[in-house]
Amino acid sequence: MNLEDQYDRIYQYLFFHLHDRHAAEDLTQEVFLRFLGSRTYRDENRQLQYLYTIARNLCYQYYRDRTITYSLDEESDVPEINSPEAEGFEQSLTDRIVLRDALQKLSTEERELLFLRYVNDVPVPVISGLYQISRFAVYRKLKRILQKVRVEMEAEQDE
Amino acid sequence: MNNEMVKRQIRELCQAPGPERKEEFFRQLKAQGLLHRRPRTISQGEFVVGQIPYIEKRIWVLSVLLLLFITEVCRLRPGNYPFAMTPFLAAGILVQTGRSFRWKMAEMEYAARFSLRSVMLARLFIVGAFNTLGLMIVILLVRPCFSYSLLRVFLYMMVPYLTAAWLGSVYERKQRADHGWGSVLICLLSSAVFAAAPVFLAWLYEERWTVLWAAAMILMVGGLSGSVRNWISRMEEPAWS
Amino acid sequence: MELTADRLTKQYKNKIAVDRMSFTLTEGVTGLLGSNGAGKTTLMRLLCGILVPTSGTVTCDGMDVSSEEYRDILGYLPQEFGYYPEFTGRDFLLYMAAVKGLPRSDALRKTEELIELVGLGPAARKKVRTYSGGMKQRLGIAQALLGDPQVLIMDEPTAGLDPQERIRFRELIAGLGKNRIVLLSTHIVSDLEHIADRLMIMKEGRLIWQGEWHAGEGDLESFYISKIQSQVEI
Repeated sequence: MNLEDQYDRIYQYLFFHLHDRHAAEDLTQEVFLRFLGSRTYRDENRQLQYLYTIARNLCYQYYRDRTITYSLDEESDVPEINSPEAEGFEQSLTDRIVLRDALQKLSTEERELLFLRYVNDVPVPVISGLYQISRFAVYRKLKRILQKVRVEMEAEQDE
Repeated sequence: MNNEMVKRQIRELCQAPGPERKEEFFRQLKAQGLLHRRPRTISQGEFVVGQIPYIEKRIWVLSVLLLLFITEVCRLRPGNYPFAMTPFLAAGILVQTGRSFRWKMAEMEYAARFSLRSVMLARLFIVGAFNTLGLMIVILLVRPCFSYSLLRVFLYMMVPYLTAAWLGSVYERKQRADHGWGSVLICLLSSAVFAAAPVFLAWLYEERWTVLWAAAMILMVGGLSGSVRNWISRMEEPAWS
Repeated sequence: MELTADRLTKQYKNKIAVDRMSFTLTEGVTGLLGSNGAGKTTLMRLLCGILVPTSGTVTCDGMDVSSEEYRDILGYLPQEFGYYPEFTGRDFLLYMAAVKGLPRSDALRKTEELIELVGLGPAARKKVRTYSGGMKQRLGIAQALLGDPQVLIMDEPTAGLDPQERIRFRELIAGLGKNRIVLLSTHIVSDLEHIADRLMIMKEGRLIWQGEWHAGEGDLESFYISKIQSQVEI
C-alpha cells in the first residue's frame, strides 16, 4: 500500500466531511500516526479498512468535541459549488448545481458510500468491512443510489 | 445520461483542494524512523501452524497407536468389531479443544488478538485433520481384508467416529471445566454401542442397509458442524458470569 | 486514546453486577477501588470484551471492544489464571505471544526483555508449577505486556506479591502509565497511593466516585473510607 497516495485520499475523505482544509489535514496526520503506531495487517484491504475506520472515528470525535450535533440530515458533506477549488472543470456551473441538488436529497450514509467508491476508489470488500454489510449489499446499494441520483438529475434538467 | 457519466461528475464535484503539509509530514515520519518499522502480525495460516507444537505430545502418540491397532485387528480378525474402536480417535480431539478451560488459560486467550475462538478452532482442525486423514489411510489399507466394498468399510468406520465426536462436542460445550473425563466416557459408551451392534443387530451390517449408514453419516456431519458452530458463536463462559 | 464506557450495565439473573457506569479513561494510571464483590472483575471483563454487556457500550477510539483491532492493543491480566502443565515460564510467554499474533522473531526478543523486566531471570526456564505465587503473578504481568499494549487492564495485579515485588511493580506501572491507558483494580488502597493519576470507586456495581488523585494530597485510605461511608448515609 502506498501511504503517500492514501494520505491524499484520507485527506479528501476528511475534507468531504469537515469542509475545513486545516482541520482535515490535522486529522489526516493523526490518522496516520495512529495507523503507524499499531501493528500492521498483511492484507492490504484490511489495512485500508483500518485506515478508514480510524478516519471515521476521528471525524465523529471531532464533531463531538466541538459539541456540534452531527445529525443524519446535516448536509455539511454536500460539496460546495462556489468553492474556488471547483474551478477549471469541464462541467458547467448548472450541471454542478443540478448534481449538487441531487446529492442533497441523499442521506449522509448514501453520500459517503458514493464518495468512498467513486471518488476515493475504495475497493468494495473494504467498504463492506467498514459498514459490516455483505459485498453483495454494497453493490446493490451503490446501484440503487446511482439510480436515484440519475433520476433526480434528469428530472431537474427537464424542468 | 448513463451511470458512468454520473460517476465522473460526482468525482469532479467532490475534488478537494490538495493537502499542504504532506511532504513535510512524510519527511518527519522518515526522520523518526516511523515509516518502515511497523511490527507485523502473523497470518491465520501461520497462526494455525504455530499451534501445532502446543498440541499435547501424548495425543499424537495415542492417535498413532490407535490407528496402528485398528489396522492390525482388522488384518488379523476382520469382522464387525474393529469398527467400534474409532470413537477413541474422537476422544483426543475433544480433550484438546477443552484444554483452555481446564487449565484456566481461556480468559487470557480470549483477550488476545487471535481470540480463544481461533485457538480452539486451530486445535480442533489440527488434531481432527490428522486423525481423519489417518483413518482414511487405514480404511484404504484394510479394505482388502473385508468382503465389503470400500464405501461400506468407510461408512462403518466413520459413523462411530463421528457419533462420538458429535456427542462429545455437545457435552464439551456444556461442561468445559471438567478434566475431559466426560468426553472420554462418551467415547467409551459410543464404542460399546458399536461393539454390541454386530451381536444384537447383525442385520445392520447387511448390504441393503448401507443407505441407512450413509444417512447416519450425513446426520452426524450435520450435527457435528452445527454443534461446533454453536460452540464458537457462544463463547461467553458461564463460569465467568 | 480514549476508552469510553457509556451507561454500561451487566445484569445476571438476580443481580446487577455493573450498573449504568459511564466514564472515559485516558492516558495515565487509573485505580479501580472497591471491596470484594463490588463488581470490579465484571467491569474489567466488560472492558476487555470478554463479557457482553446487557446494555450500554464500551469503545476505544471508536473501536468496538469485541474487534480484533482492539484486542491487538489490549493487554489483560485476569484475576485468576492458570497455565498448561508442561509450560516453563518462557514457554508460557512464547505461547501467549503466538496467540497475540507476534511473529516468531519479535516474540523471542520481547520474551527475553520481559523476563528481565519482571525479574524472573534464570527461573524462566523452570516449569511454572514450581513457581511461588509471586513469581507466577509476575509471569502474568509479563504476559499482559507482550505486544506493547496501548490499553493495559490488570485485575488485582499485586495479589501474591511480596513487599519488595510490590515496590518494583509500582515503579514499572508508573513508567508504563505515561503514554498508555492503564487500569488497575485492587482492594488494597496503599497499592495505588503513589501511582494512580485518577481513581474510580465502585460499590455494589455502581461508580460512586471518580476523579483526579494527586499523590501527597492526604491519606488515600481515609479518603476511600469516607467515600464508601458517605454512600451508606445517602
